[in-house]
Amino acid sequence: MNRIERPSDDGYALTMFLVVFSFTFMIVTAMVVDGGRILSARRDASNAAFTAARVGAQSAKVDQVGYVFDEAEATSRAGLYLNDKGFPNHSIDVTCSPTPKCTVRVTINGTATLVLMPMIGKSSQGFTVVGSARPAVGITAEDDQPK
Amino acid sequence: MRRSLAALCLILAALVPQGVALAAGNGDTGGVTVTPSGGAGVLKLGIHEAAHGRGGVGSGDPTCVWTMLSGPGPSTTSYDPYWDSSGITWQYWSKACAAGTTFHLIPVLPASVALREWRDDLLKIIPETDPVWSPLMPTQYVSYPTYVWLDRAKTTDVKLDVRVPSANATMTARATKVVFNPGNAADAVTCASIPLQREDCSYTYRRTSKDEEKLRYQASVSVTWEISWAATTGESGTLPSYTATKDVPIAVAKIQTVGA
Repeated sequence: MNRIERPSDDGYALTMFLVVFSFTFMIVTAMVVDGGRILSARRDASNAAFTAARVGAQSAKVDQVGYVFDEAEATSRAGLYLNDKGFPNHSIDVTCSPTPKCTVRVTINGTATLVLMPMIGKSSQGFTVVGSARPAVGITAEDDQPK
Repeated sequence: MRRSLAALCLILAALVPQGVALAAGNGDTGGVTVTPSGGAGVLKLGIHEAAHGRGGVGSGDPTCVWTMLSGPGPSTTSYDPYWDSSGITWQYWSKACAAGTTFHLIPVLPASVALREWRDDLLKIIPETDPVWSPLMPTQYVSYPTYVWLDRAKTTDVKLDVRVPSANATMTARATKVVFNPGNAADAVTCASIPLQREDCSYTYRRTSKDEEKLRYQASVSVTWEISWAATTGESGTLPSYTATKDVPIAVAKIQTVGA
């Protein structure tokens, strides 16, 4: 008499374990990989924002009278830098108070493209980073030069 | 009185370099009589009494005869040469005219002394060195050029006209060189020409003045004036140049960019 063998309980448990483990592994892997991509994109954007702010802050110059800050040039130079580095979605604010003590503030709205998260319906992650810089003038310390 | 006499002698010294007389010693109606001496560069200058106020007769009389006196003079007058405190030698001369004879003290000046005195007078009217800066003082900036130039009105030729009845003479000072010493042990910058506008002469500091006393470089701007003289007689010459220096403390700051 033939006997039909049924899977043992251990077999079911193993199958379930593999299913759950695989899913968890994929989720964790997706978080690690895509999380890393998000962090990397934020870092790149942050570096670009700070560098662009410094580029803009370097619009400080010396004219016939003395030290001046060209706000329009600061905005232009920072914008050119960001476009060149692939960050077209940005905003640049130059605040001078009092003139010529100016601060260049660059905001980048970026998006990190995900490679594994689309499996759960999320293909990208947006983020916002800010970088700011200002010129400093002095001999031994800022603002210690004679007026 | 001595000053005015010396001034006139200066004129004459310029007119009569190397002891060559321009005017006759006798009967000169020009008011100035020049008598050449034996040694080169030494002048014996007879000055008309009307020019310096001594004496009182015979002014302009063409018949007058000038004679240098020597030996003991009449009564209390000594004819020995007289040296005053400035080292100028004075001699006694007589002037014999139809109306009478008068006696005069005549300065004996080497030509070099006379010209030096004249040069000193010229130096008094040379304008003070007053450079224009860009950027404005007192602060300059590392890596940005410091421009220096001079006001055109203060670099034009300076002339001192001296007029005597018989001739005119002019001493001229001309600005020929401008040197900017940045005060940081670097070589001084000699401007290519007299800088009259912003771009003509510049220097760029590479370090701040943080290590300097009072945080300032002790810079200076020097203007060299070449001095020459010319008389209407056609004679001319040059004298040692004059350098006018303006000390300028300069603070040199640095412009940096920092994260805000």
